Amino acid sequence: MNNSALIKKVMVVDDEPDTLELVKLVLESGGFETVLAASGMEALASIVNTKPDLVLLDIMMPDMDGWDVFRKIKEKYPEMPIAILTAKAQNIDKLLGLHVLKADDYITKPFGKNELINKVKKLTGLE
Amino acid sequence: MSSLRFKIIISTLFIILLIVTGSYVVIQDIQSGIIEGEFRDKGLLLANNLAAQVTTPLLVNDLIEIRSSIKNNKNNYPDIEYVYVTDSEGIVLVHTFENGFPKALQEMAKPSNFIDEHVFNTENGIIHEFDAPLFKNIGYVHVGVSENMVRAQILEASRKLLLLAVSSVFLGGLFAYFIGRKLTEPIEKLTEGANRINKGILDKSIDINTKDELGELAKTFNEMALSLNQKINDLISAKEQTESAEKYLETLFNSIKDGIIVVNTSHEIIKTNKSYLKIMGLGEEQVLGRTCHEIMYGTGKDLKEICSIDNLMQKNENIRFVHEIEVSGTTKILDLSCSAFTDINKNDNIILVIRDITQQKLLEEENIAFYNNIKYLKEFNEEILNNVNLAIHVVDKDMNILAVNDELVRLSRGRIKKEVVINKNLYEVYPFLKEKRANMEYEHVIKTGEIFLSEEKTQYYDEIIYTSTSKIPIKDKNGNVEKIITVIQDVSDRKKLEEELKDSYEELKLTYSKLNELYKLKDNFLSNISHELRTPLTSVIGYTELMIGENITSGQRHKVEIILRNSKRLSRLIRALLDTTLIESNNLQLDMQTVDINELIMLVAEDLKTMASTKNLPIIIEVPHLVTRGDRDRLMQVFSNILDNAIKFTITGEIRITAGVENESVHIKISDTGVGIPEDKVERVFDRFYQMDSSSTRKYGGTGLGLWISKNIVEAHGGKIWAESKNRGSTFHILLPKPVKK
Repeated sequence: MNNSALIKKVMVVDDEPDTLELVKLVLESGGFETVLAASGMEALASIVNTKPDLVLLDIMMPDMDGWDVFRKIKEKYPEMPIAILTAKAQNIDKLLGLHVLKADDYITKPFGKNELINKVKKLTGLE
Repeated sequence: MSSLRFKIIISTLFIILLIVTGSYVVIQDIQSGIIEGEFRDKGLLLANNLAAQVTTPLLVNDLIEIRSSIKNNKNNYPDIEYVYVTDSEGIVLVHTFENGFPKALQEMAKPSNFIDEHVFNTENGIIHEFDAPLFKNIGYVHVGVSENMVRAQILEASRKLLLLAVSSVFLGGLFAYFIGRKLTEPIEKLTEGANRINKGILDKSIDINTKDELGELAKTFNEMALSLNQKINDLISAKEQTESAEKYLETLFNSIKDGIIVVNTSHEIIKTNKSYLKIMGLGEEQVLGRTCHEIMYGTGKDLKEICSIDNLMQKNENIRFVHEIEVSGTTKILDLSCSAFTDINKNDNIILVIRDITQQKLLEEENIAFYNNIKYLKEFNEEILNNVNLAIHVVDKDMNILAVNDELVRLSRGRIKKEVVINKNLYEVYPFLKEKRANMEYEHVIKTGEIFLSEEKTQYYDEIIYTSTSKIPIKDKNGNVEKIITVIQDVSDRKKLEEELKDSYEELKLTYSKLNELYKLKDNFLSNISHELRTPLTSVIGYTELMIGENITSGQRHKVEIILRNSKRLSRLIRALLDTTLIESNNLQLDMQTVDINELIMLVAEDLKTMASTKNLPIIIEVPHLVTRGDRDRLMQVFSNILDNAIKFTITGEIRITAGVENESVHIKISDTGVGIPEDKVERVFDRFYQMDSSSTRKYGGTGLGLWISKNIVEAHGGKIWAESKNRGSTFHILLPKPVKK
């Protein structure tokens, strides 16, 4: 329990296994614990037990769109910070994410290692 | 006192004096004669009375009686000086002398000396002795009477007479005065009147009302004064009229626009008005006394012959001519009109009226040019009218054809003959017009005065033609339509073309929508492809970065770093490609938020510091915490682009980033000590796909889009970006508007 207070838990939702592993490796190198989900359904299922400090959410996913996942998580856990991690770099997407859905951040792919770690630190309240 | 009155009085007085003096002398003479005669008669009577008294006593010789008679007489008549009586012998018988008989008388007592009267002087005055003989000369009585009494009587009478004369003279004087006055008063009045007339006082009449000659004279005088006054008044009024006329003429003379001069027989100008001086641009002193031809034709030449004035004087007629003259550099055209006249001093003069007709001439010339122009235009219009490919006819408001042009004849394929249709009714010539309801259109045009435009398809004889028709009303000055010009264009060919065009247009429209679709497709494709490209690239970059953090050999590290660098470059390229699409489709949207310029610069520099450190280039950052509003990522993209370029084009030296606030804008400067930009290209570096030269592409890489995108981003922020370079090193300036704090 003490650990959970010191080591922040980040849920990563992405349909791309390579990306999932990359984010896991990067965040672990930054000292974070990660929970991985390969789809929206999986994420929604596991979030009940894992209760992460932050969700990194991909948008373009088969079956369930990232926005749907976002809404569903926020319905249950309105206080849970969710950052969008996506390859959709067009501003319209970013504006939608940040201002309409009130995402806590919007990180575009490809991301720099340090950039990601810094942002996650900020979002989990470590900085 | 008037001398005439004086003269009359003096002369009258003189005459009166003469008469009175004469009368006085005569009357006195007569009176004294009478008195003396009376005295003598009385004396003789006394003597004879006494002689009768004493005759008897003497006869009886009674001397006493004699004596008493004498004594009685002597007492009765005190004048008696003495009495004595003698006898016939002259012996004194009785006497009254107290002192004896005077010897002086003894001689006279003798009868021989007897006379009626003896006069002699005694010491008691003159004595008259009257003698009277007695009866039968027996004796004589002698009575001596003193003249003194008589003298006193005469003197008394004389005094009375003198008094009378003096009174007469006094009365005469008065009379003379009144006569003189009476006579001279009217004359004086006349004189006064004459003096008044002389002095010019004519309104007072002479007050003489007598019916004599003077009265007549005064009346005549008064009438004369009256008529004189009338004449003088007439003269004054005539003079005033003349003066007024002169003034009027003078004013007219000077105010008239035409120049007027008066010249004498020697051609010298003796009078000029102001207009003449103005026309000639001369002063009065430059004109007066000079000859008119000298002024008109110039000095130094004997041009008297040129001047037609002499001719004019001889023939005594008016002449008129036009003369050109140079006045202070400009040519003036003058219209001269000369007429002769003789002035009051019998001098022959010429009046010249000079009118400046330069403007008028110019206007005339302009008018001629204008007229020619109109004539040309008319011909030109007719030419156009008949050669234009518009059929035109003109009708009056009763639809009678007034004119048609050649094209109308052509349009009718020769069926309508110009000469035949003129003055015919339009509907008679074109029976089908009524079927086409053209008559209603014409009625509309006449009623509203508006142009009526229409297009129609007409079965024109045996062919179908398309026409475009304009019915144009021509209004009279009251605004009523009096004529209608109909312009008919055969648009059959155009119609065909239109049909073809319509087809082409539809085709084009289709192509355009297809293209549009394709364009959208391209955007979508680019958007999607970029996403698809990014996903594998994320892995490539991510894992490469992880590898660098791991324990690998320096040879491996070098290779991994190359992979990372190129992956990042690929990532940037993809982003630039996407941005270009966004900019082109005007979809560059900014996420405006509060940004700290220092933070952004630090992040960008952090990202690029590996690249700079490999080239040993220090990045010096002197940027304070400047807070403004902007799109965080986009601004970082701009700074990153410029900083990347700076590092890329700099071999040695340093890169310096400074920032400050200027005029409510944030001014960021990124300077390098690199190769710099040639002066003529400094403005073109922001052009799309711009590369300094093909060699630099190879050497430095890049798409040529970075600065163009940066420029678009900065401008979308409402800011400015520009470069400055002096061959060695360049400075990029970014100016971002800083929102006013509220």
